[in-house]
This record gives sequence, structure tokens and C-alpha cells, in this order.
Amino acid sequence: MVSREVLVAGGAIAGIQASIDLANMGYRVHLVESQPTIGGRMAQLDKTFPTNDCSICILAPKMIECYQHPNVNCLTYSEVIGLEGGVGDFKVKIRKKPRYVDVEECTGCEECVEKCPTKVGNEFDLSLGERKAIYTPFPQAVPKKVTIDPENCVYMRTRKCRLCEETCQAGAIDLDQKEEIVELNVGAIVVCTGLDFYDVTKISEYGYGKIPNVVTAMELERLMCASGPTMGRLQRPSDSKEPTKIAFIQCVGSRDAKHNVHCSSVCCMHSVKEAILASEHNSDTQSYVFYTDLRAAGKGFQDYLKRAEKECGVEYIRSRPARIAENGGGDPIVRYEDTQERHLKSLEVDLVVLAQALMASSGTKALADIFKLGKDRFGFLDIPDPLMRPMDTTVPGIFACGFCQTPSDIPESIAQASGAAARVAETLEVMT
Amino acid sequence: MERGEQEVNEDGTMNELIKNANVLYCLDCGKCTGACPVSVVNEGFSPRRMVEISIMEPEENVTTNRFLWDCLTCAKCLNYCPEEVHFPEFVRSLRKQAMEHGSFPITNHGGITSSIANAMADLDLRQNRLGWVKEAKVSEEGEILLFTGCLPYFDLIFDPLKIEGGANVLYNAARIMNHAQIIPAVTSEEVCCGHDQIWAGEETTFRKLMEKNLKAIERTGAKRIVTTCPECASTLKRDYADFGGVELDVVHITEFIVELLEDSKIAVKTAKDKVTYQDPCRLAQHLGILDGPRDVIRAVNPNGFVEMKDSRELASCCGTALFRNCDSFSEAIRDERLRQAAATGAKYLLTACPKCQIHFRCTLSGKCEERGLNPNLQVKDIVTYVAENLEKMDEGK
Repeated sequence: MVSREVLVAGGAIAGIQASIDLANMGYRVHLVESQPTIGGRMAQLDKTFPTNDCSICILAPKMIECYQHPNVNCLTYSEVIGLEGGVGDFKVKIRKKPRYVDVEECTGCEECVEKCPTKVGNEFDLSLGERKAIYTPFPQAVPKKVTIDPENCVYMRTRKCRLCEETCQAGAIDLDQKEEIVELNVGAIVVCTGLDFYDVTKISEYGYGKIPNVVTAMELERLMCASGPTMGRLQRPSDSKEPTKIAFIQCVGSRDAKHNVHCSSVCCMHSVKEAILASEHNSDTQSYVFYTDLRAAGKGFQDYLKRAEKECGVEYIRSRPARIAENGGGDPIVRYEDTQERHLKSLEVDLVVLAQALMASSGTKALADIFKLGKDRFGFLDIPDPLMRPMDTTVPGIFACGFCQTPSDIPESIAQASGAAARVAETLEVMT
Repeated sequence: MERGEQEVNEDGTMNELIKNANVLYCLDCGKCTGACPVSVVNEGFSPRRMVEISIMEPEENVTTNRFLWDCLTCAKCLNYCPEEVHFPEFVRSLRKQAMEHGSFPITNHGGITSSIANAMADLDLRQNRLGWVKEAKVSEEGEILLFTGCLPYFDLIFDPLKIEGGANVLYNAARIMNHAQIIPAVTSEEVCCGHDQIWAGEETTFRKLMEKNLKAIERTGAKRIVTTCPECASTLKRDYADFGGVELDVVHITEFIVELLEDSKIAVKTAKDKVTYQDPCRLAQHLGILDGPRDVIRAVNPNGFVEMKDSRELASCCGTALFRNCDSFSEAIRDERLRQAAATGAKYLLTACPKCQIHFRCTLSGKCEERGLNPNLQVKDIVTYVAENLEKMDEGK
């Protein structure tokens, strides 16, 4: 019998869109997300290009719409661990990791968070800020429920503490909670497991990890965001000084035979966006974008580049820097050949921002193994017929959208998500 | 890329050279120029620009390119290039062409090193190249060949510099092997490996040297070749494969010592003096051997090893290659390395290449204190450093 239920693997913007589309068409959707909240990378962004809209302001209503939809079963903090069967009749095994919190009881008041004695780096802010061992990843998290991170929880390590339990008036803390295995029967699957960042410490000439004022683009995003670790005040890591001279370096680990040959597709635009935002934080800011090619192949993108140049004085330098050193005051020095002026130059700046390569996520690799999906030479999910069936993976009934199958920006990911949802509906309609 | 093949059917056109070194993949990003140690000191020298000119004006006569002989072929550009454009290989091809058109580099030391190589290539010499053996145990045949290269000649040529980069390094290498109960084969029939010739574009001479060496190596019956010079290692391993079609099992002595240490075949005492290390370009950039020498140094001196500011893949070479075009730019590159070495406070600057040692000693033997260098810095080969700290020498048994 053909199941009219659907598994959506990955709760970022693509997964949210695919879930809402399918739920609105009357399908029962199981949305599985490995993190304690849905939202994904888009939740981490301060603004979106090319309109500079507040990212979370657009995303949060979608997250809530998805979570509250009567046809959507949201399985957060969960991961797929097994698959059997085929199109129309997949058996999926899912592991629900213990949150050590009863989500039915938790009100999200976060009084337990106040009391928790353990502070660790906050993944959401790329460890630029801190969180407690009991936490909600970010203020707009959905579901707005706390989670205990067992690796850092004092009680989990020493069997002493229980402060959260004492504090919680709802009685929601359950320190003995065990993982749960959920088995589902679904007719089709949408994979939208998103992206990971390339480890830029591998590019030793740029000094990331050694020079404090060399940061990644996502780190800058958090440093500029009102909900970020500095409450939206742009401060550089070494001395909290406001940087007003910023170098953006493109293709860091992308389009590079030694690292990743693929173009990450969104970096030209997100660097231009961040340069504009830095100017909005402080109009004295002078930004330099070191580019290989400025790829602005989207609606309104070329205008955006020009706007940055005209309104914010962003300077575009055609070069791939070879070295970033540091002067005595912690200022990074960028060494590069200006290929238009044909001179080797050095530029001293307050902050360097690396547009790190974006890759198919580790979750994509794990799911590809479980679902036996083909991958291309870059590690993205293989799409055998990208021209006529751009959402179809190598396995019938399993569709892919967003960064797990190809580098794509937010609107592209959403379009693909709706495409994948349509392919699911079509497949199941034809079978029943 | 088929390096060796290019020369066989080559009609000398620039287009072919461009194709063979991946030059058309150049993104024109300039990362090579930013990485190049020469570009930093020699204004106007730009690997990217050389590539650009070659593509835009492919028929330009290579003999007019004043930068052609300034390149150290250290391969740092290649390792930074996002498209793996083989710039050193491109330069080598250009040099071959330039030579054919009568454009030559300036040879240093009166050209004696190339004269010796030419003599080895063209004449049927009876060489006395095993004078260093003394009480070390060696044989004429064996599984492992200790390839000596030009080292026995260096003592003679660079006598005023008091280097220990020649015979002494070989003697110490043999002693380390003996300590591990290995009796290396050595042969007086070997000749210069041809490194300087192939990178200077003197391919004919290179091929003659290669043929002689392949015969000499075969006669020893060796299955594995150990060299103390990174240039020999790189040439025997890569260029003999590319130009001679022979895949030899070649290891540099530092890799070999790492094996001996791992297998507990040798034991070392703990040294304490502060030491730093210069990455030779052929070892670090061409062969990618970065950890081996450091593992060896740390085995001898676990706490006293300090890196220079630029180390590993970020390090520049010693500033002179092929004993050609050693000029003020070479000195500037060398000064910077020696300044960084001085800044570490090290007593010894260890290197794994006899040529680094020669060039550094040359600079330190002049007036150099006012340039921020430490004239008392002792430049030493890593092989000697290990031999001096061997736990117990079973000699003469």
C-alpha cells in the first residue's frame, strides 16, 4: 500500500518550505531536524541579499507556520538511522535524542538557564558568545523549549547539581530521559540537509585561528547581528575595537584545486552584503573586496554590487591574496598582487573576513550512506538528470533540494523545495 | 601533464609550452606573485605577469625576458596556485628555449659547478668520490644505495666557507646507517644527478647524466636509494620518472631516519640547545616533506625546537638556486630567512639541504650584524645533528 506520509530530512529553510507545501496539499509530513530547533543557517544570518531584509524576521513566521501546521510532525533533536523499502513504502527509523526535558511541560521560561552553572561556547554564534549547558539555541528557536547538552552538563558528568530541576516550576526536567526510536512508514522522502563550512585553518597562509582579527563571513554575520554576542555592535575579536577598514577575501577554499574546486555560489553576494552592513554600522567604514571574479548572476545582484560601490565606497580589488600577516597592534596585513595595477602590494586593515567555502554538510554524507544516494565529485547529492528532473536523486522516491544537492542561495533553495514537494505529490498521486 | 614527452616531439613553439604547464588554466588572480619570495624583493617580478605575457604575446622572444633567470623554481607559486599552473615547469621550458636562442644565466663561483657537471656528463672520468668513507662501513653492492651527488665536490669548491655540507654529511649518513646495522652501497661511478641542468633548461646534459646514473644504480643492485640532498631526491624521484621513464624508490635521509627511529633501530641522546629549521624548497615545496625533518629534530631535541615566523608551506627558500643569478635579490631573501632565524634565539639553524647550508654560511661569513642577522648562528645539516647525538656508535665492528 502506498503511504501518503512524507519524510522531510532537514529543518532549515528548504525543509520548512517543502514541509509547508506538502502539508498544505494534505500530506502528513514528518520533519526531522538534528538540532534542538528548526531554522538552520538562515536563522544565523543578520540580513539577506540583495534587499538587506532581516533574516530571522522573514524566517521566524515560516518556522512557526511549519511547526504549528496540523499536518506537520516536527521531530527536532532527532536523526534518521535506518531506511528500508522503496518508493511508496519506505520504512524509516529515527532516533530521538534525549533532551532531558519534557517538551510537553517546558514553557520556555528559561529560569533554569539562569541558574545553570556551566558556560560553554554557543554553536549558534560560532563560539563567539556563550550559552549554558541547558539552553535554547537562539531567542526565536522553534520549539521554544530548553535542551540539556549532556557533554557539558555538570550532573551528567558528576551526578551532582540538579539546579535546573530544582528551579523548574513546571517539573519539565527529566534527567533520566532515554533516547527513543521512532519508526515511520512514508511514501516519499525529501532530503534538504544543507551546508557546512570548510575548515579554513587548512589554508595556513591566511592565518585563521592564529590571527584573532581574521574571521569568517558567518562569524562577521553574528558580530553584526542585534541578537549576536556583541548585541549588534561590530567589534573585532582581539581588542573589541570597532573595525573601520575591512578586507573581504573571496574564494577561500572554493575554486581552488588544493581545497574545493566548486564555486560556493553565494559568497560574492554575502561579502558585498556584509560590506554594505558594515558601512551602515559606521559610515566611515572602508571595505575592500578581493575577488577572483565577481559573480552576480541573480535578480538585482549586479545593481547590489554597484550600490555597494557607489553608496558605501566599497572597493573591489581583482586579486587573490597570498598571505595575511599581523602587525604589532593586531592589525592584519594582506599581501596581494593588484592584477589590474600589476603591483605587489600590502594593505593593513582592522579586520579580515574570509568567504569560506561552503560544502555539502556532514549530515548529507551520513544520510547519503543510509539512503544509498549517489554523490557527485564535490560531495553534493548526485542528480542524474539535472536538466529535466532537477530534484530527483539516484533513488526513486527520494528528492533533494537546497545546498545538499547544489550550492544555492535562499530563494533558489526555496524554489527547489517547492519543486521537490511537487515531485513528491506527483509521484504519490501517480501511484495511488 | 607529460613533462618528459613534451621535449621529444617539441617544435619549440610557445603555444606548446603554455599547454604543457597548465598555463591556460591561469585565473589571473596573482596569488603566485603574492607567494613568491622573489616578487617580494624584486619589484616587477611577477609569475602571473610572465604567464600573462606568454598567453597574450605567445611569439615574444623569450630571450628578451629579463626575469627569466630570476625565478628560483622553488614551486611555492605552484603550491599556492588554485589552478595548479606548473609555473616552475613553464620556466624550465622557457629556459630551454632561451638557451637554444643564446640567452644564458650568470653562473656563480666562476661556473665551476656547471663545469664539473658538464665534465661528468661528457667525459669518461675516473672519480675519486669516496674519499669520505674512512671507517664507515659501505659496500659496492646492496639493497640500499647511499647516493652522494655533488657533495664530495662541495668541500673543495667551498673550502673557504668551512662548510660541512659535503663529505662530512655523507660520512655521518653512513654512520647513522651503520648504527642501524645497515651497510649502504655506494658507487664511484655515479655522477651529478643533473638537478641544476634540468632546471636551467640544459636538457641534453641532464639526459647524459641521468643515463650514467641509471646504469651506475643498476650495477649496485639497489632497490632503494637514500639521498642526503633534497635536490637529488627530487630529481631521482620525479625527473628520472618523467624524462627517463624509471620509477625509482627514492627517499630523503630525513624520511629514512624517521623510519629508523620508529623501528628503534637507532637511539639518540637528548640535546638541549635551541634549534630552528629551514625548509629547503626541493624537500618542502617540491616533495611536500614537512613533518619528517621536524620529527627527526624533535626526537633529538624535544624541547628546544622553535619554528621561524614563516615555516612549513609558508617558508621561503634560501634565495639562490642552481648556483646561478645569485644577486642582491638573493641576498635580500636570505637575509630575511636569517633574520627570522636570529629572532628565534636559536644557536643552530638546521637545514636538510647542503646548498642551503652553503648559501647561508656564505651570507653569515660577511658583515651581517647590522642587517639584523646573528653571525654566530651555526648552520648545520640535520644529518650531522643526528650523528652528533647518536646514543652509541658501534664503529669498526
